[in-house]
Amino acid sequence: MHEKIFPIGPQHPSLKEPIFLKLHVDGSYITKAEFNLGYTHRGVEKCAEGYLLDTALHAVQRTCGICSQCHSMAFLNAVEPMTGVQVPEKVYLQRLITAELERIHSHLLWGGVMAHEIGLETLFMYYWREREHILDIFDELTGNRVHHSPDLIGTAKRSFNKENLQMVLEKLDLVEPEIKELRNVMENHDVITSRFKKHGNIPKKMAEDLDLVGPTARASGVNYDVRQNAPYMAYGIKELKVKPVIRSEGDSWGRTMIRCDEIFESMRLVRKACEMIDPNEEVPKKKNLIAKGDFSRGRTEAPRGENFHFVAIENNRIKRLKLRTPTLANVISYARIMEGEDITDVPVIVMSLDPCISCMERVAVIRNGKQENWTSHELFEGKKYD
Amino acid sequence: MIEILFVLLLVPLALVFEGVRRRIVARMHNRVGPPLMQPFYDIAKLISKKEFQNRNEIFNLVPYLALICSLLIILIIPFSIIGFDYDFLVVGYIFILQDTFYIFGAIASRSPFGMFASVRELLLMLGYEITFLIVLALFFYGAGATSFQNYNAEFAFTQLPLVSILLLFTGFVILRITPYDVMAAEAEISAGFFSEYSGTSLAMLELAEFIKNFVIYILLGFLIVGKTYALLLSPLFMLFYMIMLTSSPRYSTVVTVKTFLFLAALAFVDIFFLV
Amino acid sequence: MINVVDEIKKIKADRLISITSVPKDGGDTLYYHFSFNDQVEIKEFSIEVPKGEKVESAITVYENAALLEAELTELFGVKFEGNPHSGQRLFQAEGSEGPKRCINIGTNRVKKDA
Repeated sequence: MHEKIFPIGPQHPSLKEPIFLKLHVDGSYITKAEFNLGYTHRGVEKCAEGYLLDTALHAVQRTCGICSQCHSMAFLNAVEPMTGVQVPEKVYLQRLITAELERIHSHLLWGGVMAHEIGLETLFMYYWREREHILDIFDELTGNRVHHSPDLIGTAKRSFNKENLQMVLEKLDLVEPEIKELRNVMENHDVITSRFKKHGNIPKKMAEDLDLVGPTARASGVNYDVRQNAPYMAYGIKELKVKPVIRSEGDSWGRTMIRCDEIFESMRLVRKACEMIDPNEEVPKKKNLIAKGDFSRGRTEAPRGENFHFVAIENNRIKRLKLRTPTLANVISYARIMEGEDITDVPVIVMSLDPCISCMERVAVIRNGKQENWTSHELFEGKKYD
Repeated sequence: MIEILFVLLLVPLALVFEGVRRRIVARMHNRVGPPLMQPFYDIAKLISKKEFQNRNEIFNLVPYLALICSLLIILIIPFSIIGFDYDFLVVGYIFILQDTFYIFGAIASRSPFGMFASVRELLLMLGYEITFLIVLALFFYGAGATSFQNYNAEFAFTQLPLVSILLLFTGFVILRITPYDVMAAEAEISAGFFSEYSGTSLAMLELAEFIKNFVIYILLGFLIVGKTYALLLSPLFMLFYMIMLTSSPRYSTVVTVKTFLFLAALAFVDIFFLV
Repeated sequence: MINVVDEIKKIKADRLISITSVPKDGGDTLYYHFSFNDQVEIKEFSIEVPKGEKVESAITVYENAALLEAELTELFGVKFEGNPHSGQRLFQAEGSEGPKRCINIGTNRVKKDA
């Protein structure tokens, strides 16, 4: 049979965000895969240039809806040492609670979408029902369901009091037995194990050569978690040390089980941190700070891997901001693991790598200093790129 | 004369049935679901939308041909109008003809999704066609009739239990219950053959699907329980199928095709024993 | 051509995190960020690249440099030699010219404070 190109994307029901995967197909088997990015440019790095640090923080927090707190924390990891501010422990613990709850929420979202890919709509609805409880917690703690921005440089916008923390613990007790049931389904259901196992293999050597990050690498046996190797903020405290989940299978099923298990580890951290917070203490007020030095960098563990920010400062304003998100580090493996698979397995593999494309596409492009508006036809044809 | 009035009311009844079906599926998912009149709104909205200029004559004609097939069937089941006493085999062929038109439409759309959908649909048809016709023939032979007008057997499942079970299994495939909805697998090939239609054509296709599904639920009651109770028992069969729909995922294509061979073999064996 | 491979090999890091470029008049400053498995700190290696010069590709040492260098070539115009993916269009469709260097406004942007 002659070769054809089967396009996955830019718009496709199995992708939640646009990415263009060109699959060279022979019948139903894939012989080669290529990918094209660039469909959701937003210019976050350019947005932050030239502004003061607080405004840049506002821009950075809105890079992605699902992982907004981890971007904020990476930026603060870079900037706070430069200003020399002393941050109290309560602020660190508050940030940890929000970050771990965000990890739980991201994994529940991912679990639902994964079930939808194979046609099990009921499991999808059940996962997202549990996610609603977590979004209620965010609403109570920070005032917003997504893009919750509770951080300021050196402090936080509000301090958690006793009712907030009680609500967190109650909701977690409500949600935990249900998530255990859902994890059982993912582990034992016949169709899931037969469709997920042995597809999308990433051997350990490939994961180490390509420097993959996140649950994708941990499913292949690479023991790398930023919270463990380079602890930051409140993760250095002895009771809050993270034990990362590691598996050795390297296929889609291994990645699924890691994400199911990480939810329980995060719950343990949130419960411990809620005990350690002093509910009567108030966080300090906002101050105007001056940053000294040339550049700095910070990294955190996002739900999808290692998130890295590089900040160069001049005159207390941002000269250059670069984000390297975990999906960008993992996208180089997409083309290699598709070869030899069947088309029916492609949505399962792509979703098990958990792409967050809107995080990845944040690079700034300006042509001749002018802003242009493109129609969808021109974007597809690529005519205006001169 | 009164029967003609009944038959005219059956098409809106099919749409209301579809609304109830969506509501039941939503309750299984622990959510509220759309209002009962939603299929009417859907069809009205689709008719009011602009249609993209298209490709060739077959692609344009297929929705109307499919609608004609399904309207033909609803004139025969459950109340046969006088003069429409065709052989039961004709009805079986018209069911299969409707699916064949879908394949024509998928291939005529010349998109990669359509090609994959048509290949999978051909595999599906290979599976259930034989079993469906054999099961129909066995029911009618057991009742001693040749057309739907003369079918007078009541509670046929007491005398033909195995054939009734086979009929229920083929119902899975005809209704495209997962795991047999590989043709319109949403995640993989973005709803296969429906993906290139828009506007009035899509409205006609959806209407044909709603009517065909309604007729299948009635047909099950008609054959298994009897003519008089067919319409009343159709919600029960619908409930059974929706419970199966919401509780199973899709297997890979190869595995689903293998299950057909088992069903077809069982149907062949049944011809000799007539059980 | 500017040689970076020998000095990168001397660092002996476990991972290459990213390659950043900070534009300035007459060229770029390239920063290579490395991390180690047992240290908290990130180590940097910086190099000045004047306009139009080529840099040796780090693909022989770290394989994921292919994507990072392709990104820099496409958006900033820094050319790397020895990278098989350097012509790959990641961010744009085929048949179009890459952008000119990203103009860095710097810190003279706003008249009133944010």
